[in-house]
Amino acid sequence: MTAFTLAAAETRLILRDRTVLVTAAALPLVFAILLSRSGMVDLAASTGALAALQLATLQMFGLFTTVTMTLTARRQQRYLQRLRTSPASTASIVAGLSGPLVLIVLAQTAIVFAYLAWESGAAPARVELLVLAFAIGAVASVALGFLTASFTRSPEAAQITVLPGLLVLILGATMAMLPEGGPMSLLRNAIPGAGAAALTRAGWDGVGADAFGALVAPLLGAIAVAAVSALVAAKRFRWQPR
Amino acid sequence: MTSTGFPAVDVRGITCRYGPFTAVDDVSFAVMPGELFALLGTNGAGKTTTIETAVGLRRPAAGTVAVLDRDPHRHRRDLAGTVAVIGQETGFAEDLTAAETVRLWTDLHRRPSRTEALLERVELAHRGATRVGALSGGEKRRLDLALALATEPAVLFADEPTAGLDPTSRRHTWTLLRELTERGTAVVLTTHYLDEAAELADHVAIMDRGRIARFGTVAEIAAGHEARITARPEPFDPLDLPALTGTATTADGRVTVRTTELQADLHRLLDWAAERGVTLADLHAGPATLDEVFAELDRQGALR
Repeated sequence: MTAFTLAAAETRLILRDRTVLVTAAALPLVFAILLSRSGMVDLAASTGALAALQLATLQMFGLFTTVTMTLTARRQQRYLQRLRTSPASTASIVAGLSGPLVLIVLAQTAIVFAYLAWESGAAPARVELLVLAFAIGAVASVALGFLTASFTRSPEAAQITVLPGLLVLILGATMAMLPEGGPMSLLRNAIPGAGAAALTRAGWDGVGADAFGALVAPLLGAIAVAAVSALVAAKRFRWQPR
Repeated sequence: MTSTGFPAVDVRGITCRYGPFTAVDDVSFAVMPGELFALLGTNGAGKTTTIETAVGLRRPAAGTVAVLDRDPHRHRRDLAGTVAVIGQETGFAEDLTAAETVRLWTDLHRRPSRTEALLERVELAHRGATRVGALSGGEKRRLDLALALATEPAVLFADEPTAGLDPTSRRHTWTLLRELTERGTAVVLTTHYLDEAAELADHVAIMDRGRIARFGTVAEIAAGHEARITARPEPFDPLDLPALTGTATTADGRVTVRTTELQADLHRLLDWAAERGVTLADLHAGPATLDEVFAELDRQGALR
């Protein structure tokens, strides 16, 4: 209940910032037009690989970076400290602050994926895997955002402190471009973003019945990244400025 | 609310450190239900850190804190419904309106929405539709007070709640704080306004460099310091003053007597005036004010 109350307030705050609103609405459209003009659909190894990169990009900037900066700014404004003096639980505060951002990125992803399906002429084979990829990627991105915010002093510093996380997430998404299997398979699925990207690729391009076993590693990797990030963030996160 | 027999706030020997710096050093105090306790001190004396620790936002390096008989750090959520906090920085979302901020707070506390009534109570009803970012500093302080009132708290921690308020709003805030204590709320207040502490506080602690330098009622604290008599004798002959226990100084036709024997010296002065046919215009006599105690401690270097 308190999560919904906070999410409603957060949504109101987002809607009141016209720059944020216009950027959030324009981003998927620009993304789609760039995709159309760049010829990437023809160049990509598969439509699924392209979808994986798109989802990773949207979650990287729309969730990971935004959550880091929003939390750091809210902490500096003492808004988080005020919420901590309310009966809201930690989970409610996290869900309330990040929920609207997740919904925005979900809407952006839906638009971008719809355009990709139309442009490539190939609809996703397993939508449920795409949903799973989005959910796991979103949890990991939000948790990594909280983790990064826990050692970020100010919104200005956040512009620098997000860079390692961005690099790791880009590396993880790039892993989806490599063929599955091989001795490095387990290791690469442990890279944040790699598991969600692999699931996205499989969800779009489809997998044979025997290949489903190969999805276990990305799935476990993605869950492990989300869980470890959330645990470390819960331990290290500071609710008030230093 | 009725007195439960145990302190609403019980702080025992807390020490708080920021790295090697000790901000609060072995501080203890207790506040009973319906009591207003004021923490005074210069900037950096440790008042805010003490409040933040008592609220449960920080864990002390040593010592214990009990609010309503519970550890405020461990039982944060249990206490949140009955403990209100007015911080030095309000922590509002600047793009929400004043009314939306009150509604958010009452919803988080699952209290009936009384937005209009609460804003009315702090004289902000006309600013309900204004975004918090557009409110003045004083209006934000009053909005903060509205949030504190919304939860009808058993304990209120108020860190400089009247900073930046105009004199009328300050007096109005005092009235609201008095109403809270009359209903049984224990109030822990920090302030730089010594008249505020003298007006409101049942007990006062003066903090200095993280420690409590003086503690007691305002009268008890003042009792250890010289009282003061001032008057403008007419006609005035500075060489013809009576023998007094205290020290008399004269300037601009005014006599100031600092004394530890207020009643006796006042008698002597009045008898002397009656014998000489002298009028004591603008006669004031009273114990040391908190302002004077504070200034004296500062002069002695006890507040540096």
